[in-house]
Amino acid sequence: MKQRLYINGLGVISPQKTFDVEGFLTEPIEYHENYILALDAEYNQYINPVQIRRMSRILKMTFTASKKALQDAGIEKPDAIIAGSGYGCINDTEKFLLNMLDNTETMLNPTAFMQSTHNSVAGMVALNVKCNAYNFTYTHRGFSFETSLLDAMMWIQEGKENVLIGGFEENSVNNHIVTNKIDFWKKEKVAAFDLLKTNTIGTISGEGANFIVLSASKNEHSYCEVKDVKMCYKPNENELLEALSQFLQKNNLEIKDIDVYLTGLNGDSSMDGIYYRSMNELMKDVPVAWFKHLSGDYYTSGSFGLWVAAQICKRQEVPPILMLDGASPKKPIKNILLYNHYRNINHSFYLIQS
Amino acid sequence: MGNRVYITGMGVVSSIGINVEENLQSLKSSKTGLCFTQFLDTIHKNKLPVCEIAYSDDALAEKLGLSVSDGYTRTSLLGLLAVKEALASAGISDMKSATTALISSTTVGGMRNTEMIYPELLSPNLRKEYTNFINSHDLGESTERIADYFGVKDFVTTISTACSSSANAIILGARLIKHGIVDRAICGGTDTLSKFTINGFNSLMILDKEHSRPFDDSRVGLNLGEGAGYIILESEALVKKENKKILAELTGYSNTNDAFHQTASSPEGHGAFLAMSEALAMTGLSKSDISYINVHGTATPNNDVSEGRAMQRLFAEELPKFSSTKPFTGHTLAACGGIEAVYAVLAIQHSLIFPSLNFKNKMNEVDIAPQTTLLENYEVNHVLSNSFGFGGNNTTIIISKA
Amino acid sequence: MEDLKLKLKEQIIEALNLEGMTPAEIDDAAPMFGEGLGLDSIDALELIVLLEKKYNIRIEDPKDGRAIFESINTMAAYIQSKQIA
Repeated sequence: MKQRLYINGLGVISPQKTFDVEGFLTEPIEYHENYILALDAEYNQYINPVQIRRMSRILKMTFTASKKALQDAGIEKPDAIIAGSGYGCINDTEKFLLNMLDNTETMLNPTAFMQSTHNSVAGMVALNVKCNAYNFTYTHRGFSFETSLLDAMMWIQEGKENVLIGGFEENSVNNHIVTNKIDFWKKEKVAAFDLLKTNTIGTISGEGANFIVLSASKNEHSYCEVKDVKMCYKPNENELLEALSQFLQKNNLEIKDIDVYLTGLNGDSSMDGIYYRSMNELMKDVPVAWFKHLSGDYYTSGSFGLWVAAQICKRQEVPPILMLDGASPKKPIKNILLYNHYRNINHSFYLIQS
Repeated sequence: MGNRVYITGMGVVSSIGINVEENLQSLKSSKTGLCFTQFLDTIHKNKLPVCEIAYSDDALAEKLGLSVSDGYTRTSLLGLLAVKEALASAGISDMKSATTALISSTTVGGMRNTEMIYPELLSPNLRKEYTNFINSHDLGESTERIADYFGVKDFVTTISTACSSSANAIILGARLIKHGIVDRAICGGTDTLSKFTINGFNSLMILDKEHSRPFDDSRVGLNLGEGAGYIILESEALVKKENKKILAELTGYSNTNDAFHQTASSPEGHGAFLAMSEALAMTGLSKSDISYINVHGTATPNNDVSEGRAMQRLFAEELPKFSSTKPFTGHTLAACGGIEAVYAVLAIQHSLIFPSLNFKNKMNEVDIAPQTTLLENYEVNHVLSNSFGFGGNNTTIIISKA
Repeated sequence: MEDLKLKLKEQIIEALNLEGMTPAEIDDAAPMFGEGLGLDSIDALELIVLLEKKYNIRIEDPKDGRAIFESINTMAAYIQSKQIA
């Protein structure tokens, strides 16, 4: 028999008020830039002075978000730690790289190099809670977080009780310049809430540190159940729809059973096209919600989407800011389908249940 | 769960050879890949020796029928060559014949190429010949190049856990097979020499200006290398169905975290001890069944003491023959777990124990000595292979005669 | 010598990001590693970079750092000996 798994703890630092707040997106912030940053928490309150002094911002963010997720789940030490990030600690990488080029390979500070390794986050989290268990870091573009989630699901099947997973990404000025050359981001400034009205190429670049505790046991604090996750690599339209059909079938569901369809639409006219159109057609009778106008887009934005879905399940409400169009979902909200893709390459489905 | 996982193919590219046979010959004849770089423009090029593959990017691309200007980083090229050999040796030509995963790993991805053109990448005047490298920096890029070249669609991902990366890729592959998510998996890693890593390790002051000396009392650090190593894992059911030739079996694995320090290993090797004991427990073997340990053995003062103490604690009087093959290949970072998995299979197939080069005197702290000469006609049934990395990452895999 | 020590303390606070610390709080004779300031092996490497950047003194073997960086006193004395030489 398949072991079920639940989201029992969340710690999310994002461009919205998602950390240390009671409400669920009750005061959404609209950005007017195509490069948006997470709202920093009071890191000093979570990290002791000896630990904090060498940490770069992304390490402070992930340290704090992971600590919050564990506290939220009421556990001290997880049975596995799995992190996902497309670019890792990109600012540390760039800092070391630029120092190296500017100083012609002399007098280089080791700290930036040491922290530039993609697994420095998962390692730091383990160090903090003295966790000797399984410790992995996935770094595959728009599959980085999804592979982390799948891995955690496998571990719960294999008998582990609590697995901490996290998706993180940080914006960097230089990386933004580089990826802008291949039209990742909008050239003009847009009002984030009107992102889908833009009809131009590119989207807005976001960041976040989104940590989640997955557990084999349900308790009164559990947010939701994670039923399944599926990744599709470079599917064509038919392959994608076929994958969805199999995904639902495997979980004994039909489209009419989906109460909320949460999409990763990001307003990029060159990317939102075909896939979402056919998905929207398929899901036309299902209330549609979206989230990238709040988080911005990044390789691991699916982890923010999963946070959104978990909150909807637990609170049984969809804040108006998330609704794209159509009727509000009928209650109870039971099944949420999250569909996301990164640049038409890495497509993913998540099934979340109340 | 419960089904066995077999190794049916392997491929390797390193400074001691660009295929399995060349690597075997070099290992048997104590031929190291250590040299001074001919392709990397660094101020350290005449001071810090490295283990470099003696082919230019263009020469590597030509072997694959590719053109570098299409955006193939050296990391991708090395990975492609090794995966190509691995698939051929497993007799796999049609990716659709079974559900297939590609799990690749790298620590710096396209950095080798990024660092050459970085100022231009940031300026408005990027030369046209570089446009295909704009999106080649991140770690997933080389994996997708490999997936696309061979047509892998079912499952594609990338792992980066510093120097234990490709050993971890092998663990994920085995677990995906055991969970029935895929029937077979291409697992390994690829990394190239770069100014970034040379200067990074140099800033940590753990590079040796001489040839590295693992487990020797006089060791001061490692030599960096480059390469790629991949193995093909297949499920028991698929192997039976297709009546496949089996090279070896993956019988045990474990990944743990030392949780001691950002870069340094704990002096007593707690994480290493846990990884080795858990992997051994999974196999159901006893300590004395292990014929050979391919140690991580980087020759940094810290690693070798930590790993040595963990080995001594676990094996005590029953310590098997062990050696570090890093003086042959250099430390190939994300690739070393894959490369050394191939070496483990070679040890089993050819009844060999490869020498640990440059060892003279035991470390002051641990009373153990590696095998220093090639041992032939030595029955190797079970190889334990260690890969440890920054961030406290400790991985052990055990490969057995099938 | 006192000027050098004060300058050195300021440089260490900056290089190692000892937030909220003032030179006056660092005792000249107190050990910098372990007890005392609580620095570790990575800090030792950062101090080696500091010596090269600010004083043009190169340390080739990280093991030499242990004695040199024992305290502000030993570090200042080492710098002075190198500058006179």
